[in-house]
Amino acid sequence: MNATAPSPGQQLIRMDTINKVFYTDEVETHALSGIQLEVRKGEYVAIAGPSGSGKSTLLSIIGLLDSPSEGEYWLNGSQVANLNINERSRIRNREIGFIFQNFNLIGDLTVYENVELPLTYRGMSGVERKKRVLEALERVGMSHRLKHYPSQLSGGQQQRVAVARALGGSPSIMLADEPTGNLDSRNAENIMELLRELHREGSTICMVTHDPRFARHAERTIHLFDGRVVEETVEVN
Amino acid sequence: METLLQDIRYGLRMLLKAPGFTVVAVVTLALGIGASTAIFSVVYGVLLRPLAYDHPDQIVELHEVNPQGGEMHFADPNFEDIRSQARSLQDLAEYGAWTESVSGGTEPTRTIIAPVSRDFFPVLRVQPFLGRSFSAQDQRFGAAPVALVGYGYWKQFLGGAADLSSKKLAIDNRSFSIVGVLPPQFSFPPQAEIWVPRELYERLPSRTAHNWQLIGRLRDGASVPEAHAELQTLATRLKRQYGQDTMMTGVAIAPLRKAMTSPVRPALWILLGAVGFLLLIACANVANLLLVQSAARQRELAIRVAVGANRSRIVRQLLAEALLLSLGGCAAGVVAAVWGLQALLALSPGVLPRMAELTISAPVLAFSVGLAVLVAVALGAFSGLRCSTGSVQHALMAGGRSQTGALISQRLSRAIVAGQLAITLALLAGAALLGRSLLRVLSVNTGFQTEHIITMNLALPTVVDWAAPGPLANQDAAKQRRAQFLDELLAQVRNIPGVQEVGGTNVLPVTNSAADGTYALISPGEAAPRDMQGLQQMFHDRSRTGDADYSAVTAGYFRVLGIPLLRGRLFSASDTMDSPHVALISESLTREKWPNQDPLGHQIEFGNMDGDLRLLTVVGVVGDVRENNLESPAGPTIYVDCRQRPEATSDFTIVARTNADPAAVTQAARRIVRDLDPNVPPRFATLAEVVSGSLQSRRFNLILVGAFAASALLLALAGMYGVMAYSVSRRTNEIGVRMALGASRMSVLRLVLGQGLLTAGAGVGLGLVVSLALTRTMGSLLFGLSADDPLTFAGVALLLVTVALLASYIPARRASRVDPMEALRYE
Ligand SMILES: Nc1ncnc2c1ncn2[C@@H]1O[C@H](COP(=O)(O)OP(=O)(O)O)[C@@H](O)[C@H]1O
Ligand SMILES: [Mg+2]
Repeated sequence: MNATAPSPGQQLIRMDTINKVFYTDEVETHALSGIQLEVRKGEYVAIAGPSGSGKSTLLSIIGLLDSPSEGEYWLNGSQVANLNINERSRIRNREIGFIFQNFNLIGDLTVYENVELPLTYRGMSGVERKKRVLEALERVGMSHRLKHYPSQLSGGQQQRVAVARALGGSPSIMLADEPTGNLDSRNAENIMELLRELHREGSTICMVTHDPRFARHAERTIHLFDGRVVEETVEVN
Repeated sequence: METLLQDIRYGLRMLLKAPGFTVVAVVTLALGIGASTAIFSVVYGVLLRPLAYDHPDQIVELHEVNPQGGEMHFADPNFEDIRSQARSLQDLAEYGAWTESVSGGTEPTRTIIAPVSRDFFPVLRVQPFLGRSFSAQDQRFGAAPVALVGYGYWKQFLGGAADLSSKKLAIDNRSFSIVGVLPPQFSFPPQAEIWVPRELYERLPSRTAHNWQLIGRLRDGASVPEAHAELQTLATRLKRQYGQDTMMTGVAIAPLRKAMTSPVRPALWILLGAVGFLLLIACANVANLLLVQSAARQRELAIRVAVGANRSRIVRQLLAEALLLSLGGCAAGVVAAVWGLQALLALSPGVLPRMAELTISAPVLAFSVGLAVLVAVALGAFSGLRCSTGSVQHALMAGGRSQTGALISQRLSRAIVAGQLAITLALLAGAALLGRSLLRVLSVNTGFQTEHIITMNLALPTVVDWAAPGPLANQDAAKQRRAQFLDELLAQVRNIPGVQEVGGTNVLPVTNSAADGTYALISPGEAAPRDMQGLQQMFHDRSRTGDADYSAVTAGYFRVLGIPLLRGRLFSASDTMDSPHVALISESLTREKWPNQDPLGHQIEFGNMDGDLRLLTVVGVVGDVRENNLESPAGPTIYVDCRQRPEATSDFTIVARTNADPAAVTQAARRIVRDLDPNVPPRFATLAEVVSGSLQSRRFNLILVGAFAASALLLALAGMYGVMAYSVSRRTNEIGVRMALGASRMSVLRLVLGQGLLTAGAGVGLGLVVSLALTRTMGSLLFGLSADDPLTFAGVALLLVTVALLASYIPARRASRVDPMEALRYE
C-alpha cells in the first residue's frame, strides 16, 4: 500500500456517466447528467450546490434508495446499478448508514430500539446487537437516554441518535443529507464535530450540504449545478 | 337556541363536505339501529306489550303441578274445587283448542275451535261485537249447540252478514247456531276462530284426566304470589283428601302474558342481546371513522380553540354532528326495520306467539330514537374527549411533536377493533353453536324415513257420540263406520298411480302431539277391568304400570315410514274389531318391561286412552321412533290397530310412499276425500316438510344469530381494514425509513401483518373469555354439544384470526410496496 498519499484507502465507490431523469406530467427533469464520481475508503466527501441541483438525488443513488437512469455504479468492486429491490435493501442494510435532515427516528420505538432496528434486519444475535447499540450510543454521547422516545429529545439529541443508528451497523459509508438543516447553529456545530471525529476514526462519509462552512469540514467538495459536477475542491488543512 | 341551530347548520356542512365518511357512517349506524329496531319490535310485541284486555295483569294461567314438579292440564273435579274455593281469583275458566272440519260457511274449512267454560269471557272481559254471548241455557250438557265466531271467520266465510239467525255451522256432526261475532282483534286461545260452550262436552269425574287449560282473573288487589300461596294450600288439602286419585300436589300460576310467551322468552332475549352486540360493533366502526376524521380536523378545532371557543362549545359542536349522523342512521334504520320485520314474519310462521299484530309501533319508534340519541351521545362524547385532551394544543405546534397524539389515536383505534373482534367472536360462537346443534339434530336417528312420503291430515268428526247415553265402548256401529271409512280411503289412495304403499296414524312423529298415558300389565288369566273405576284401581299398583305414548295406526304406517318390525308380526286383515285386540310395542318398551323375556303374547290394559277396556295382546315389536320431537329420545310407545280401535282417529293422517310428482298425487287424493266426505278439507305436506317444520324455531334462531354474526364479521372486517389502512398511511414515512435502513419487503409485510395479528389476537383472546361467559345463557337452545364446545370455539377463533389477517393483508401489501424515496420525501 502507498503510505505517502493523504487518503490512501482503496476505492469504495466508482460512478461512470450516471444520468437520472424524472418523468412527471410529461415533463422530463434531468436531475443528474454525466456524473463521474470516485470515493475511497476513509474519505470525507461533501456534495454542495444550490437547491434543486441534484444533491439529494445523487446521494439516494449512492445509497441505493434509487437507481440511475443510465450509467455504471460499482460499490466495493461490484456493479450495483441494476440490482433488484431485495438485493438493494440487503446492501443498504450492510454497507450504508443514512443520516437524514429530519432525523427520521421512529416515534413509537425507544432510542435503544431505533438504533437496534437496522441490526435486527440482519438477523444478528441479541447479545451482539446489544453490544453494538450500546457502543454506538456511547460514541454519540446518548447512552443515558436508552429508554426515551424521540419526542422526548431535542433536535440535536435526535440527530445524535440517528448518527448512532447509522454507525451501529459499521457501514462502509455513511450518507448524510443536510444533517444540520433542522438544527440551530450550536447543535449543528456539535453534529458536524461528531461527524469529523467519526471520520478521524476511519469512517467514510459523504455529506450533502449547501452551507459552505460545513463543506469545509470535508476533505473534498463536489459542486453540483443543474445536475452536473461543475467543480471539485480539495481542502488543505 | 340560536347557537344550537348554528351548531347543526355547521355540522351539516361538515358532514356534506366529507360525503364518503357520512354515507359509510350513516349506513353502518342504519344497519345496527335497523336490526335492533326490528328485533326490539318483536321483543316488545311478543314479550312486553300488554295484552289487549281490561286490566291485563290480573289475567293468569293455572296448571296442576305433579309430585315431580311437572306442569299438567287440569282435570274437571280439581278445576271445580279450585274455582269454588279460591278467594284470590274472581273468575276461573277451562278452555281447550283443536282443529275441526267446519262446514256451513261459504266453504268447508279446517278451523281451530275453542270450547270455553262459563267464566271464560268474564275473565278476559270481552263482549261480542255483534249478537250476544253464551247464556246460562247454552252452558249445559245436552243444550242446543251455539257458537261465537271470530271477526275474520265471519268476514271471510259468513260474508259479514248482520243477521246470523239463519246461519248454522256443522262441526263434528252437530249443528251450531251462531249467536255472536267477537271483536276484530280478539284471538284467544291463539288462532281460534270459533268458540263453543265447554259445557256441551262431557264432564269427566276422573281427577287424573288432564284435559283442560285454565285462565283466571285475580281479585282486585290480589297479587300473583298471594294467589299462589292460597292455591298451594288448596292443592295440599285436595291431595290429602283424594290421595292416589289425584296427581295434583301444587298449582302453578303465572300472568297469562308470561305464560303465553315463556317458550320463546330465552331465545328472544338472546336475539336482542345479539343484535345489541351488532349495534355496538357498528358504533365502534363509526367511532373509528370519527377518530380518523378528528385527526384530519385537529387543526381546524385547534384554530377554533385559539380564537376563543371553549371546550363545551366544541363538545357541543361534535355532539350536534354525532346526532345528525345517528338520526340519519335511525331514519334509514327504521325504514330497514319495517322491511326486516316483514322478512322476519315471513321467516317464522308459527314460531312466535302474539305474532299477528307485530308492527313498528310508537313504543318501538321511541326505542329506536332513544337508541339513536344514546349512540349520538356516546359518539359525541367520544370524539369530544379525544379532541379536548390536549391534542388540540399539540396540533397548533405543527410538525414532529403531534406524533404522540396520533400514536394514542392509533392505539385507541386498535383497541376498538380488538373489542369489535371480541364481540364478533361471541356472535360467531353463538351462531356456530346453534348451527352445529341444528346439524346434530338433523343427524339423529329418527327411527323412520322421510323421503318420498306425502302426508294428508284430516280433521274427522268424533267417532262416538258423546251426547248418547251409555258407555262409549258400546257404540260399535259408529266405530264400524269409521273403520270402513278409513279402509275405503286407504284403498283408494293406494290406487293412485305412483303410490307404492299407504298407511294411517292418529299422530305423526316429531309433531309433539302424541298422547301419553299410564298402562298396566296384565297377569296371565287375569280379566280386564269392568269399568274405569276398576282401571283406576289397577293403576294404584305401581309395580305393574308404566307410561307410554299411544298411537292408533295401520300396518301400512310402519311400511311407509320404514319402521322395522323386530319381532312377531304387524297388524293383519284377520285383526277385526271383534277378534282379540292386538298391540305392537316399541323396542324401548320391551327393554323397559321385558328385558330378558319374549314380550309376545303378554297382555296390556291401555283403555284409558280410547275408552275401550278390552285387553291388548302384544303381537310384535317395532323399532323406536322419535314421537315428540327430534331432540327427545324415543320413549316407549304402544301401537293399536286403528281398525280395531278407531275411537281416537278424529285427527288422522294418511301417509303415502310415492316416487310420483307429489302435486299429482295430492290432487288425486284431494278428489278422493271430496268424494268420500265433502265437508272434510284435507291438509297436505311431505313428511320431510313436517320434520323440517319441527325445526322452525331452531332455524329461526340460527338464521337471525347467523345474520347478525355475518354482519358483525363484515363490520369488524371493515373496521380492521380501515384501521390498518389508516395506520399504514400514517406510517408511510416510518416504513420508508425502515426500508432505507434495509428492511426487505417481506419484513415490512410481516411488520404490518404482525400488528394485525396482535390486534386480532387480543380481540380473539378477550372474545373467548366473553363468549364463554355469554354462550352459557344459550344452553337451552343447544343440542348435542355443550355451550363451551372446544371445537366450536377453536374453529371460530381460527376463522376470525384468518379473516383479520386477510383484512390486514391489503394494507400490509400496500406498505410493502412503499417506495422509500417517496416516503422519505414527503414527511
Ligand atoms: N421523484 C421525483 N420526481 C420528479 N422530479 C424529481 C424527483 N426527485 C427530484 N426531482 C427533481 O430533480 C431535481 C433535483 O432534485 P434534488 O436532488 O432533490 O435537489 P437538491 O437536493 O439539490 O435540492 C429537482 O429539479 C427536483 O425537482
Ligand atoms: Mg435536497
